[in-house]
Amino acid sequence: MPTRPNAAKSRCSLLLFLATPAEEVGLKEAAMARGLPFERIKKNESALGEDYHWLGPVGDEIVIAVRPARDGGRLVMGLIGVLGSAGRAMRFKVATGAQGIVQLGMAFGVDPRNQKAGDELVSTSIIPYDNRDIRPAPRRWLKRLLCGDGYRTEYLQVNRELPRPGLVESFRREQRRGGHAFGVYLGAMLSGAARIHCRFYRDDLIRNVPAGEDPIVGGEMEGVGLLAASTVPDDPIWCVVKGISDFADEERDAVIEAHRPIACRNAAQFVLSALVNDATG
Amino acid sequence: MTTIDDFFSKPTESLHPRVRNWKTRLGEPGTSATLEVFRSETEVGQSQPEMNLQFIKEGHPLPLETVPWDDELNGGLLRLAVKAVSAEQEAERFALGLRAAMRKAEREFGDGYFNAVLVDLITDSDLTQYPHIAEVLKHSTALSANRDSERYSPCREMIADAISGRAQELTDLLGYSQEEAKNILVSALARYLDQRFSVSSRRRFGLL
Repeated sequence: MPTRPNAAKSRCSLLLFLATPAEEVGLKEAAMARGLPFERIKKNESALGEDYHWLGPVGDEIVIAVRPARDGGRLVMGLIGVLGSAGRAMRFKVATGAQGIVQLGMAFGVDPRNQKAGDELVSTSIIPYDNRDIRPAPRRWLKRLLCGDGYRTEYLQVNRELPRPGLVESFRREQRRGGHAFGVYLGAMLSGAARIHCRFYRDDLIRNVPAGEDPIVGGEMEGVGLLAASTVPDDPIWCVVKGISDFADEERDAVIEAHRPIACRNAAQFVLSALVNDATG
Repeated sequence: MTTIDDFFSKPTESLHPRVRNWKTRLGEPGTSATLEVFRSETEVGQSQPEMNLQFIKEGHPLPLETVPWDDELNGGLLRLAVKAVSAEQEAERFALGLRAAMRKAEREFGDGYFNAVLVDLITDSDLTQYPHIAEVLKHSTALSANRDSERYSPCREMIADAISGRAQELTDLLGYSQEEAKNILVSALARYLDQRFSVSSRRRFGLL
């Protein structure tokens, strides 16, 4: 007999979006450490048509965590497609009545001298760098003869997108409260579909995207998809909070496995702390 | 060429250039205007609203002016006493006005606490006797407000001020009677709550 959908546990004010199993484990550990429920609502019990985790009231918010998307057994990451962060954010926002979405998980840092793995990045804006123009680059005849025609990438169309102010303020308050074993950086985050394994490309991106008031503190892949969930431009519903798992350089693959768990756990700890501490003053 | 002295000698009236233009036009004899708010329904909620301003000069409608919804422009039109085209449209307009006016409290206290105090204030008032508001409130996602919290009073006052500010705009700026204004405000509040808690959208998805 099919299980009856649990309507009471299908409404929330805040959605936590998770893209990978490591992020799911990180949130589970952080929730359990705080004595919070982490109840899996299976698809056949779900009024939302997908698996998710019910955390219930956390501070002043009612929280649902959206599980990583899978197509068959394959993990779906990034923003594109029916199971990408854009489509899922729109569906879950409407179906749950949530006013906010936090994309939780891991990201790359951009300043290996000052940042370290496990430090937290909070988006004060998103830079959707995939919105770019590729143009031919004039080359001198000798270089053209040796290397062929070239091209250059222009990011003039890139606009910084602002997150939900209330969420940023909450995370800023938590940064000020301090007491975490990791650093917290608020700033702009690059967001796009590329998995970057090259320090030169990372730095080139930072140099070439339009400058803004807030410094670029890192980058990731899913946040840009959340822009689609804000149906009106002056009422963004999202914020990105991610732990640093790597620095998008040649060492990425060597370090990411080791750093992933701590990056994800710290991000979850930071967000849950912010919610709880805001409520207790 | 503009000189730095020009900036100091500009008139003190700090109207948005569009509003300044509308004010001038409304000052012309035989000219009036009405506002219509358009928001299309999509699968995932309502789209970005538009303001359609219809000027009428000596009984003849002039070309419609359409601009994306802007809280400042709406404020300017209110001060120019431009009414919406119907009571229903006025409610739609004031639902957006409430959204703008609530934003400060929402930002300062966070969505969850704001929801809790908003619902607490409404259920603590006679607003729940209006069926539209009572129906929407049944489906809100608000926790019980902690009234002992230091945040409770300022949050509640900010929300109450946002509502009474809109009430006064209806009566003082637009000249509606108390009874007309009440009906519009109740309808606007019900729409605001419906959108905030995605009630109609969830109903469309078969979740309510």
